[in-house]
Amino acid sequence: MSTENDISQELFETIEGYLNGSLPDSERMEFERQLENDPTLQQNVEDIKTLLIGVESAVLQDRMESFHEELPKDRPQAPEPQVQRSRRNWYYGFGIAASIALAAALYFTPLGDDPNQSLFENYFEPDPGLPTTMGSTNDFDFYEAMVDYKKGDYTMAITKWEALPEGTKGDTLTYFLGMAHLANRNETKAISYLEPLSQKTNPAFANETRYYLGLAYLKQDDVANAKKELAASGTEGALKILAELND
Amino acid sequence: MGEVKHIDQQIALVNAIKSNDEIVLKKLYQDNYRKVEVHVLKNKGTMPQAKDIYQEAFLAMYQNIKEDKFTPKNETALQGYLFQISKNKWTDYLRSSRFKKTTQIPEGFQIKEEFSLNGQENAEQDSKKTESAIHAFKQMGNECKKLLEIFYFQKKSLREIAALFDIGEASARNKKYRCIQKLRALVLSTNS
Repeated sequence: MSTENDISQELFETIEGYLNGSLPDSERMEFERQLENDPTLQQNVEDIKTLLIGVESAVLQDRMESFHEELPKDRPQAPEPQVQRSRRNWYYGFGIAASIALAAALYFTPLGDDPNQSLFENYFEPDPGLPTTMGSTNDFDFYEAMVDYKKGDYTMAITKWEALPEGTKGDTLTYFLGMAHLANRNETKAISYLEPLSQKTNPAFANETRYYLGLAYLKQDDVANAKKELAASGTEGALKILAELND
Repeated sequence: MGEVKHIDQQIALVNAIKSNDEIVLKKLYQDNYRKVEVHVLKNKGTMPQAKDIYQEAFLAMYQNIKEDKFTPKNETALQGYLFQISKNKWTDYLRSSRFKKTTQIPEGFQIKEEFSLNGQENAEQDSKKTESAIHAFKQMGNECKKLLEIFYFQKKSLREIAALFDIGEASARNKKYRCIQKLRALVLSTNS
């Protein structure tokens, strides 16, 4: 790093624009001309480049932790986080385990139980949630509840999220409120959050919203709406359920 | 034809990584971890070591892509590259004194020579600088961290940031500059 600590805002923004390619051609050419003959400027560019890659790398390190936590659980050494029949079961292969699970499901399902319920239980797995280590003070409360959510304490997460002041409630919050209710098997509440969200033109988590909304309808035995939402979602999971519904 | 399409996919993959597409990053991370884990476990390593080595390798791959030090040449180039960096890093570790001190390598156990990766050694100094930038970033206050993350990692516009922080666009821009200045100062203070 150079010892010159001060780079003016203007120079910084030019360098930034040069590095991310947003500098207009004429300015870029002028800048490159300057750069050729100015070792201090060259050093500044290198320093800023390193800083920016450092920022991105630090965030990536943070993300990698959640990628790792969320590795598909077909890893034999990974502990099962929650007791639930999930679609992950299917990943264990179509071997003995799956046959046993299937047989068990058949035997232990009370008579008269809706096949839609078992389909829901087989496929439903709550959204893994957002990484929580980077929360700023602004949305501290949101992320605090996210920690509860990720621990599986959906009721606590719902209590905290629903207490957040109006105006802070964006699409992300609506989505996770719906998710937490669905994870608590309160599909009516879940729909009350997810349905309006799915009507928005460009909501966050568009496909996920419709996928989970479809599952919520399935849980309500509203197969027509379930099919509609699942088809609109188009995610891999949605297509699998659709295939089973159409069987 | 098929080959061209695959290379196109690789280029698309590299571009997605450059723009920090989190879905792509996550999939790449998760799809390739198991192979590295198996390699490390088969070669005297543990699960936590496999994770550490893999994350180091993933980060190195990411940084090389950001600096245009990697160009895909065949359809699985990037995945192969990631595995190769992981393997090399693990081989380095096995050769290191830290490992030899605590473990006896059984007879007949051989560490295979791997081909070296372009510029991997020359990059050492660069990576030290990046390392101190990463370290400095982690020491920053939450507000700067969040703002820099949203702007540089999530690639959101100043307008979106202004809305998110509930401030004007000009303030967002000034704030970003001040955070960068702080980050620079932190790096300088740790390096001096």
